[in-house]
Amino acid sequence: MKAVALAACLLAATSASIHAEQVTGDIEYGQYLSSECVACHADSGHNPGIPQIAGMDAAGMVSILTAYKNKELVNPTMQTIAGRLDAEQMAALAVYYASLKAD
Amino acid sequence: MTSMNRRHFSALFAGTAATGLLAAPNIARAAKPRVVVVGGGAGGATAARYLAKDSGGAIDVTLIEASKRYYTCFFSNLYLGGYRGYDSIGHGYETLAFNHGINVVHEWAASVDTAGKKVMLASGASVPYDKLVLSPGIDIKYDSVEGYSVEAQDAMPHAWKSGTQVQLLKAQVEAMKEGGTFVMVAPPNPYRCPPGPYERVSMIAKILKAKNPTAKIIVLDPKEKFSKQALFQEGWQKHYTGMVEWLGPDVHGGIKSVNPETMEIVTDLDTFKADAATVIPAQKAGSIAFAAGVTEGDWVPIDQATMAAKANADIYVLGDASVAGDMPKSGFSANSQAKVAANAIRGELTGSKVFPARYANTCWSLIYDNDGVKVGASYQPGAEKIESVDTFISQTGESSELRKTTYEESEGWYTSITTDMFS
Repeated sequence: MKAVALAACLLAATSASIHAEQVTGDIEYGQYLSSECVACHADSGHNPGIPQIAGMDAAGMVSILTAYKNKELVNPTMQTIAGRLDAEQMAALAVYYASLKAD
Repeated sequence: MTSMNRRHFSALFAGTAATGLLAAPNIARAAKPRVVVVGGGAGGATAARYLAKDSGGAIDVTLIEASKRYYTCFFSNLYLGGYRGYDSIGHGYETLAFNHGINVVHEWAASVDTAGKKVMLASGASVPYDKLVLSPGIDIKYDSVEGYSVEAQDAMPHAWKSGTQVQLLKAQVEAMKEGGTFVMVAPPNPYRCPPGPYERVSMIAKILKAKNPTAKIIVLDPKEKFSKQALFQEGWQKHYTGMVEWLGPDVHGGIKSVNPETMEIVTDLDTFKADAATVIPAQKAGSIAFAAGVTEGDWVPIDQATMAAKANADIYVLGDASVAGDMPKSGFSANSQAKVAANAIRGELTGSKVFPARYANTCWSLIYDNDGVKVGASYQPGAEKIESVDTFISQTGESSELRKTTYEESEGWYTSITTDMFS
């Protein structure tokens, strides 16, 4: 729940710079990359302690991953994961997860 | 293609009768490439699942696992500490069979005919493969602790393969006499689950704190230091004050022998008499890895980009049995490696796109109620081995709120990873 609230704050703060741009990415690459995420973030269901990311808005996901990469969001596991994602990979993940049905 | 008439059709068949017609019923089946996976744990179940689901049925997948129900080693400590029931760490294979069409074979895979590319089952049957995945976990090197043996594991469980042994250990701890002493002989490197023994100590302390608060725990460690040591020692001091004593080799001078009948553990320093004990000996790759001829010493060297065994390009080895560079031997690692292997194997067999390997691991440990810690890293293939890219670890002195969040993450992870393995 906390991550979602923080994400909302970030979206509000940076909405001017996003310019409502459509995120474009390689969905097949995103699916492959998501195999790293799925060990913690199951594709469906609600697990205590791990936020559900299936169906998340693509621009929102890019924004959150960027915040982890810049260490603005504090979870050290996510900082390590996001730390090695480049822009192309973040976009690929974002379009893939946006394509999943939210539970 | 020109239209066929009956005469043309029969002529075609006559010409190919010797080979084509007799084989006709099997042609569709033989055309599918076959992957056999030995071992249905974090590595093998994940590999079988990803091969089957991502190939959309284009690959024939067989999973050989002797146990009908898999009790995870990870989270067995939480069962030990009373945080969850035994059944909650058990998982069946029916969904893999039903959802993904995986041929689940509950038999013991005894050896591999690498020339003929067949897995030999103990029952005498054989299973052919185009590619083989071995994820056999560990075997215990009983001889590595003098006086220890298969017979001894009843009096002094190693409980390092989950299942019945953990249930036995829990019962023995709970039955300890008031003020008794529990002794752990910890394992030497490298071993499955680096922080595992110390989470186990924490969970035994949790039982004793409630049921037998004057009891003591002594850890005799062949290692000079251990995973998340500062975090565990801080936690033991905080939650189990005065109960746990960890002795490294500079103090005990060497673990000499154990006696399961007298429950004595002899070190250079002293002989310890235990009321209950666990001995975690040195380990090696599961036996099928040796049978397949892919081991070097106790473990299997692998190609860091694909998890293929260095000794045999058609055999992929995952998880604890492999030498995976900087990655620890953990369920998380095995699940991560399985996906790299599955991607590589699918590429070889079906021409599907192969993406660059990426690996990750996080190990969570529970010290006490809502006091969880973690350590982990991201990894990638380096020049010589799998190398860590970036690492993280919990810190001493963290807030209780953060420790609670960390524990809750682990619960979410357990549900997700077992879904990723078995659903």
